[in-house]
Formats: sequence, structure tokens, C-alpha cells
Amino acid sequence: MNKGRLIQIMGSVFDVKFSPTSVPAVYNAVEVKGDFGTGKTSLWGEVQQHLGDGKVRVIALGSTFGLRRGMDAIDTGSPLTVPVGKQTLGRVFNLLGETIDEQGPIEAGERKPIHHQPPRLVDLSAKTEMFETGIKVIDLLCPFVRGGKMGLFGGAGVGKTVVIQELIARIATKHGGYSVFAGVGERTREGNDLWLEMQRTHIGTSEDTVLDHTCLVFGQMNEPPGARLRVALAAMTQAEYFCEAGIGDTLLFIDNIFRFSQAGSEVSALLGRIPSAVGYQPTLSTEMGELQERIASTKAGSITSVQAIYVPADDLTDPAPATTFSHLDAFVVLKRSITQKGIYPAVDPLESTSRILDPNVVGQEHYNVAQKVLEYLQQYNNLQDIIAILGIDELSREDQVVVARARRLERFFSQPFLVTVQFTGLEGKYVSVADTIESCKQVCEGKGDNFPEEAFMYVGTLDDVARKAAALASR
Amino acid sequence: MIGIRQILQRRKAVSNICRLTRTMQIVSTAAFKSYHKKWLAVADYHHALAQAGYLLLTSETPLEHPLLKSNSSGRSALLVIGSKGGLCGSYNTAIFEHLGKHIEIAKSAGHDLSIYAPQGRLIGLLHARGIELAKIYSGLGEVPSDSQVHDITADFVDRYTAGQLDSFSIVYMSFFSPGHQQAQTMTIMPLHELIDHLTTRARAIWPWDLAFEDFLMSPSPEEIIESLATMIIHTTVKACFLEAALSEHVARMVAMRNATKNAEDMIRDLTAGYNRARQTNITSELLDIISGIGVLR
Repeated sequence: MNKGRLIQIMGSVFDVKFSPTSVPAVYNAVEVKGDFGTGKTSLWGEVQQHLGDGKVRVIALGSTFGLRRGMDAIDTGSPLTVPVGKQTLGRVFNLLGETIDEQGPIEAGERKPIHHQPPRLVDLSAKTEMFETGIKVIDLLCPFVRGGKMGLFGGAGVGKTVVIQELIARIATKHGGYSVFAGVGERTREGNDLWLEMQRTHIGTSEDTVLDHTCLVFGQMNEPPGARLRVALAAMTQAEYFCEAGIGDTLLFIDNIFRFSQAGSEVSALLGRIPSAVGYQPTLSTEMGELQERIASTKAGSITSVQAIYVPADDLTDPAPATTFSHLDAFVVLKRSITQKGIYPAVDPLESTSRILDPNVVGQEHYNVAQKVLEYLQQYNNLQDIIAILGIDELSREDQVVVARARRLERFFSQPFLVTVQFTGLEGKYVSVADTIESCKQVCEGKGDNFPEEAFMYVGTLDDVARKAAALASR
Repeated sequence: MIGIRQILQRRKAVSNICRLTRTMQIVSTAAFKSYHKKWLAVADYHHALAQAGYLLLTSETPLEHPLLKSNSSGRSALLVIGSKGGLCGSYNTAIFEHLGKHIEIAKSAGHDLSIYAPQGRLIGLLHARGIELAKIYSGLGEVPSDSQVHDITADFVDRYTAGQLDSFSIVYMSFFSPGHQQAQTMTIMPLHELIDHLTTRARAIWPWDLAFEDFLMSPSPEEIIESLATMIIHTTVKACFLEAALSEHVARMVAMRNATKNAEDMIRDLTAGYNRARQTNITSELLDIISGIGVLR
């Protein structure tokens, strides 16, 4: 057994001295054993740097409360491993692969290291296919890709977590394969809500609940930075296993990938790195790349991932969201100004886009309608200043039509969600892509001009708008 | 940074608009003052005419005059006075809404309504809504000259006397006070309705204790009504144009004042945003430099 001694502790980073001939490799897991005085007897860490002379710098994967110099640290000889396979379904884990749902340990089975190489280029699958969500604005303007990576960008409190939970409810309930959810540095309460919600919801008409087909991994905001930094990799490893086992499409939900960058930045200075732009770690894009490159669709199976990305101070040019951008196939940008209009999901149609919004993938009709809608919304956006200063009466007749339709489209993109029924009292609406395209096309052609704007709020198709308009008129 | 440059560009655009609206406001204020003076001067004369007309109408022996007779041709004419220029807020929209009621009523009654309008901003709006105009008067100033008014009214009077028209009215923006203008309809023919309208308006109340019999008339009432009728019609049509112009300038004054205020608010917000963005840039550059130095030390 390769044993070392703790010689220095700096916050969530500590140094261990091993014999110079048996230094643990980088990314090897190290377990510190001893009495922490809190009832805890062990702490896991991951080797990050070799300092020479047998000394290694390790980030703690748990709280360093009670850690003392002189304690023994044992090299496990491999990176951290997590249990993988079907026995993980329906359970909740921390990043160490321990169950935290108080339902006992899982059956012993295969374990996999959380670090390994991304799939090779030749193994990647090049199929491009749209993934229907039933959410109008997403399906029309930033269609999701089967086996792709989707990002939900948004500042604090614009509804990222609600959208991700809605996507779980919409996709996972219809989905044949398995899902993995990674809770990275978000509210612990939300993790609990999600777990309870998944126990209640059934997949399609079957007896199985969503939880029976899902594996959850949490390292929420109560955890130290080391845990938040590695929890996404633990979830990733479990998703990869399902994918490689050829069980079909695997869904991976990550809420919130920004916390991964943030945790990296918290430990970066402790590891002695010079802070880079805006105080982030200089290795920001490397770390992000290592994680994102592993989310890939191979010939064996695909991983479709949806990631929430917090945008600090609503600034998309901040390095953390900016480095994430380049990895994604579709971005959904949630905007505060849209929540202020009471429109949920607060998707900004002009900033959100998708790689597959291309006539060759989604079809000419879909593409044309999407472009027409964007044209209206862009023109409305350009006219905003004039409207704010001179009022809508000063616009030319044509511009007034544009504004009227753009405002209707904007409202039409609000939609009642399945997971918010208890808050809104409105039944969730699933709108197929074909219906979305048809309805938006008709609005662009002016078939909705005679309905009041209010009738466009929280409805499904244009037929629902007509019904709501009639109901409003009779009131 | 791109963000900062965009903010500056926007601020420049908004301050140009602001300068424009402020100038418009000053111009309209001056125009409003001069029209208001004229309007006050015309008002007394107009009221006196209306009172004389009322006196004749209430005589015990009813007067006979072609303009007092009702027709039943099922055709009526409407002169709609919209704004001459733009940038006057919801002026034209209010006129248009008022006109819409007339069109609706005419449609439900199966009445044939022909609409006339002077050249101006309203025309485009009417065209866009598919409302056909019988005639567009061009070459009129803000207030038409006496001969132009004569040309306009003569046509309607002739057709009314020939029994081709049931009624002739004007839709215009009535001026009550600088704080209150309202789109309304003034019926010009039949004449008794016009006199009725003029005398029931708050500022031209007929002294009820006086009666026709209290006056001696020379020449005869029939002869008086003959010339009085054309005079009243002429004066009222001109007064409507004057009031419309007056209201237009008030509307523009108010609209431009609001626009200037909105633009100023926007400039203030943009300036604050610019300062904040600029400061953020400086802070982050400083932080980068300081932390860089800190590490090198």
C-alpha cells in the first residue's frame, strides 16, 4: 500500500508527501484516513500537481473540516471510480459513487474511472436528426439535435432550471433509453424536488416511473469546489457506459455547467495558477474541452445532452459561457427582458440558434418560416427606439403591421409547461413541429392580426388562439 | 469593446432625434399661439351668427328655405380633416376611429356615404384600410383661403339644394382647451342641425328669455336667412379647418414634449450604461494587471 503524509493544507487543496520513488500519478484518487473529530473518518482527493521531492498537490473532493497535518493518505492507484450499469438506475449518487438517497448501498457491479480519453474521431457518428421537444420556440428557432449538445443560457432567475426540468418531463417520459442527471452546484432543494417529481411521473403509459430509467448524480452548492469540479465527470462516466453498452440513446442533463467552471476557478489560485481574464483559471477552455469532448455520439450509441449555463451579470461575453458556446449544437438564450414581459419560457428568439436550422436538415418549409419569423422580430427590435421615443402612431403603415405581428409572435412563443401546472393552473401544452410551423406561418401571413395580443399568451396552436380570442370577446 | 461603441452610437442617434423633437415642439408652440389668437377672434363672430340663425329658426311662422328642408336621397357626404403633417401623436388615429363609427352606421343603415378629405397624413391611413375617397382636396394650406372654402362648400350646397344629398358633415378635431381636444362631427347641412349644434355648444348659449317677437327685422326674415345661411356655412367650414389646425398644433406640441422627454430619459439611461460599461472595462483591466504583478512578485 502506497502511503503518504499530509504536510500542508490550503482551503480545499492539500499537499501530501509520498516516497519519491512511488509518487501517485496525476488524477489518481487519494484517500485520507483518520479521525476528523466530526464522526467522519475518510476524505477523498485527486492528485493535480507534482511538486517534486515526492510531494503532490491534491484537491479535496469533500469538506476539509477536521483535516490535520500529519494524517495518512493512501494512493488508490487509479482515478476515482464510480459504479456504472443498470444497478445505478433509480438511485441518487454523490461524485464518489456513494448512494445518498438513504436506501442502502447498491449491489456491487462494474466501476469505471471518471477520467479517460474522449472517443476517437473515427468512432464518431455523423448522423444529424432533429429532436422534437414540443416547445414551440425551441422547435422552430433552435431545434435540438439527436445526439447533440444543447445549452440553456440565462442569468440568475430567468428560468433555466424550470426549462431543464420541463425538458426532462417532455423528453424522458417519451424516451426509450436511459437518462443521467448531473446536479452541479445548484440548489440542493431543486435536486430534492426533481427526485420526488421523477418518482411520481410515469414513462408513457407504462408502470415504470421516470426515476426507474434515470440515474442522478449530485454535487450541489453545499459541496466544496473539488466536488463540484468532478461531479459532472462522474455523471458523464455513467452516461458513457449506457451509450457504449448500446442501450440506445442516452440523455444527459447537466444543471449547471457554469458551476463546473466556477469550481475550477476557485481551486485554480490555490493550485498556484495565474488568474486569466476576469479572474478565471488560465485552463478554462481546456477543462471545458475535456468535459465537452466526452459528450459525443459514437457508432455504438448517442448521448443527447442538455446543459444549463448560468450567465454572470447577463453578460454572454463572460469567458465561462463564451467557452461553452463553441461546443454546442444549439443554444437557447433566456433573457431577463422577456421574463419582464411575463413571457415564459423567456427564450430570446434573436440570440438563440441551432446548427441544424438549415433547409437540408429541418426542411425548406421549416427554414423559411423560421427566417420569416426572425425577420419580423428583428425589424420590431430595430423599431424599438423609435417606438419608445415617438410612439407607435408615428410608424409607417407597413411598420405598424410588422410591429403588430412581431408582438403577436413574441407572445405566441409563451407556452404552458407540464412541470408548472401547480403554479400557473394551466395545463401543459405539447405542440408538434408541424403545428408550430403551420401556426407561425399563418401569423406571418396576417391570419392572426384580428385576434387581440392577449389571446396569444400561453396557448398551443393558432386554433387555440382563435378559441381564446372568442372567450375573451364574450367575457 | 463592441458594446461600448454600440452604446455611443445609439446615444448619438437618440440625441439627434431629441434635438429634432425639441425644435418641433418650439415651432408648434409658436403656431399654436398664433392660431389660438385667431380662433378667439373668430369665435365671437361665429357665435353671433349662430344666435341670429337660432332666432330666425324659432320664429312662430316657420321659414321656408331649401337648406332647411330635409332630403331623402340616401346619400350623404363627409369631409374628414386629418392632420397636415406627421408627428402629432394619436391625432389621426382618433379622427380615424371617429370616422369608423360613421362608416359603420352608414353601412348598417344602407346609406351611401362619400368621404372627402384634404391632402394630408390621414389619406395614407384611409388607403391602407381600404376606405375609398370621393375626392382629395389638394393645394389647401393649414387653413384654406376664403375662395377655397367657397369652392368646397358651393359644391355641397348645390348638391344639397338639388336634393342629391341628405346631409353634409365635417369630422374634425374639436378644440376645447389646450388640455382637451376631441374628434367630433359637425353637421353643416341640413342647416337647422348646424344651428342647433352651434347654439347647444357650451360657449354659445342663446339667451332664452329673448324671443323672435322681441325684434324688428329689416329686410324680411326670408331675405335675411338667404344670406345668413351661406354666411354661417362658410364661417363654420372655415372655423372647423381653423380648429383642426389649432388642435393639430396642440397635439404636436404634446407629442413632441413627450418624445423629447422619452429621448432624454433614454439618453440618461444610455449614458449610465456607457459609464458603467466603461468603468467595468477599466476595473477588469486593472484587476488583470494587478493580479499579474502579484503573481510575478
